[in-house]
Amino acid sequence: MENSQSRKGKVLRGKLLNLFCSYGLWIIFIILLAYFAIQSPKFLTISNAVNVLRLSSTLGVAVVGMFFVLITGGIDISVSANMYFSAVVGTTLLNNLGVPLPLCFVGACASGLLIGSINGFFVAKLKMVPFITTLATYSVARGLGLMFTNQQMLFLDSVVMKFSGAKLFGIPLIVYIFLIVVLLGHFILTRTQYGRQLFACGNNLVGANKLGINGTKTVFMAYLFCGGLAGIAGMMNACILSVINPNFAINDEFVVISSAVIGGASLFGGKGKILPGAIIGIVMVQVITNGLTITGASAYAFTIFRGIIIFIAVMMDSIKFSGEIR
Amino acid sequence: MAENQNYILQLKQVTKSFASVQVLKDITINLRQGEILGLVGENGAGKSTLMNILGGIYQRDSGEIYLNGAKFEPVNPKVSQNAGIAFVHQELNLFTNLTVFENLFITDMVKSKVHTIDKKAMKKIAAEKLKELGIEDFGVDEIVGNLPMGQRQLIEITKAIMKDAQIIILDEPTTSLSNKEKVKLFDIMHLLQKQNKSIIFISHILEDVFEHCDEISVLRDGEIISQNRTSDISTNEVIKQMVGRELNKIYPTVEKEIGEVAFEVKNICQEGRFENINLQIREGEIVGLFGLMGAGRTELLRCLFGIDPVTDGSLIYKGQEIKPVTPENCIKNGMAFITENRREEGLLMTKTVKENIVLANLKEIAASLSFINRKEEQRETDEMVKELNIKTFDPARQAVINLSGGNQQKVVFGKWVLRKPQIFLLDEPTRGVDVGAKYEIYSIINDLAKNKSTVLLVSSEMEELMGMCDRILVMSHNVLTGELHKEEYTQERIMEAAIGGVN
Repeated sequence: MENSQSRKGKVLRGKLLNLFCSYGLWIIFIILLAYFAIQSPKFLTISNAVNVLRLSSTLGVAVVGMFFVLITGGIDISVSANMYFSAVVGTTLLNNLGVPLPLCFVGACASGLLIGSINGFFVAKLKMVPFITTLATYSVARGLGLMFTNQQMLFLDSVVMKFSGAKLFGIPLIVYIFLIVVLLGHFILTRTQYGRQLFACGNNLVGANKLGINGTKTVFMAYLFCGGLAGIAGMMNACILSVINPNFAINDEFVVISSAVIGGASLFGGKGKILPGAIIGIVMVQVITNGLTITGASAYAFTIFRGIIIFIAVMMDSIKFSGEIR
Repeated sequence: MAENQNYILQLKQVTKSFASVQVLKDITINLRQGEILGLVGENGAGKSTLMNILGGIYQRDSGEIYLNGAKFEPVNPKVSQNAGIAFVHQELNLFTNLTVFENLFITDMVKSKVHTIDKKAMKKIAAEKLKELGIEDFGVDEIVGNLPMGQRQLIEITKAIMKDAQIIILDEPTTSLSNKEKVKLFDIMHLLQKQNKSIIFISHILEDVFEHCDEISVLRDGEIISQNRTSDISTNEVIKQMVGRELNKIYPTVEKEIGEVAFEVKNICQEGRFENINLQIREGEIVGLFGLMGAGRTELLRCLFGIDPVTDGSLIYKGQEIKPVTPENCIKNGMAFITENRREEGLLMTKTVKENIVLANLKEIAASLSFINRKEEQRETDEMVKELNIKTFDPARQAVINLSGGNQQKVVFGKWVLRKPQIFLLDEPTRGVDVGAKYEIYSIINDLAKNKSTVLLVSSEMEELMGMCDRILVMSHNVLTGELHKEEYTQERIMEAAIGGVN
């Protein structure tokens, strides 16, 4: 009797764990939504929803890039510094050289690609540990940015107001850019040979190389994408804020990585769907930030919540992974 | 030349060295069109190196390779693939996060006009290929990670025929397969043979080789000892050629004395599994434990060693109770537990032989201030390498991962033996080990018994137990169902008890 009971208990526990892994974040999210809605009438309004979408869109672009890197089983800590540095580059082009805004985006993207290619070179070619490598580029990129700006605030030409305020069917232009990037990323991952090989490399790099897949190139490209998209995200963010502070985008790598993990990318590699993962991840995080702000929570509450959410997401990722045979 | 016409592949005097070690010496092999060539040899004989040369992964130092009578230079894997040589590696190269068809096409996907991948076309071709091989166990859309090992092996073989290969190299394909899956694999092998494809089949298991191959080639220490039609050679001859010595006695015997009961298991219980298990082992006695899959053999050993919880009962060694039953305490009281999972439980694969051997014994060789006594370390390593006949060029430099399976297992033994335990629990110590190394491991076990240790040996190979043990216990559904003494051994009686029968 006792036996069958304890076994039943085990099965039940397993089921609960599974349920928690699949829906745990959603449950927490919905509880938080309800709480915010009760606390502030402003929370559940269309204008706030549009605002959240807009806020999500800049970092969302970087999240798409992060998906590529996480799928390889790597990580890119340097995104936030990359955003900062690339935004500085783009803004310099805009302010000092009078380059048209779209070309400034190209410049920011190119600067991001450069940082991405450095990451990619060290990680894919020289097989250095991604965490430390990108931590190093993080430091270098932020340092360079601070040096260029002399640690001063950098105000953007008012031309950017037109861009950041532009709307199409009542939705900010920036949101469309995010959606296009999501679709493109999704397309590359699911509909091209490169995308499928990226998943293969994330799952079993040694095996991929043995089969004649160019693993080095595949992984390098992932860091390149991540860097380029971070550059664009940085410039978008600068346009929205119209100003670049010395602590511009600081700690945003946390938001980007956790959004990707919440959106279903695995830190162990080989997994993730940009559509809808990237959107769900970043929107969830931004909704919580926004809700805490609107309800007037302590300034530190967000950091605490973010920590807890990352923790839960990573824990679920690990639990799922340990049940997997490779 | 006329007589060579039906040779699809010929290797002539191929040699290969790594650093200063010659791994292959003057290899000459012929493979006929539409035939299966069995390549046998001990671990470390050079089989994989040879096949890697054919597959374009390694480059040979000298010698010639002829494919269809023309000179062939496999300079990289692509060249070999394009020449119609498919290589199924021992470890599966599958991506568990992708679907079956994606795995089949991963290096070269079918693309539409705009260069996107054409899933529909790929699925169709994949389904056709699976059907061609008579594989119906899974669909092309399934994620490989959800499939059992045996079916994954079938995907790997399907992958080999995707490019219309003429020569298929199968490197130990059966190691992870169940019997049913093995039958399926052999069916496919013969099917491919009927399509006039040629196969090189590398295997440990001589039975399979003799049953399915047209010719058998024996490789020993980097040299081809013989290549014969299967009908022209006997199993004993092949074994002899493989190990280079007479194996008239597969199981070594040793003069030893069996003393008094030394190790006693009294009423061991584990909630939900075992109820009052009792057994006794005498000093110097080797007791076998047989049971079919899932009978609870491994679980019992784990329980006795305290890895899994013991809910009741006691372990007694020479009148002293071992309490509590935890791995740490068991080791302290002179127990050793050696398992088949060398990689997972026993060894640090990337560390050297020396480091592995002394690892469990660091406390003993640490001199004052806990610095390691290098001299002592070296002496103990040398002693073990010599005593257990571990084949390594330098125990202080060679990583365990580069040893053959048999030698890895010897390192595991060395690790434990160094602590001079008295009670050995052995769980399939010879699994995945070739014939020659098996013999040596048997000798090691015999020596343990001779030195008055008690040994409990779990094995799935009935013959092994009959050859090695003084007594065999049989287990079925977590209950000991039989006990046989040496003079009573017959396969039928053991099996009867294992099926859960009456004694």
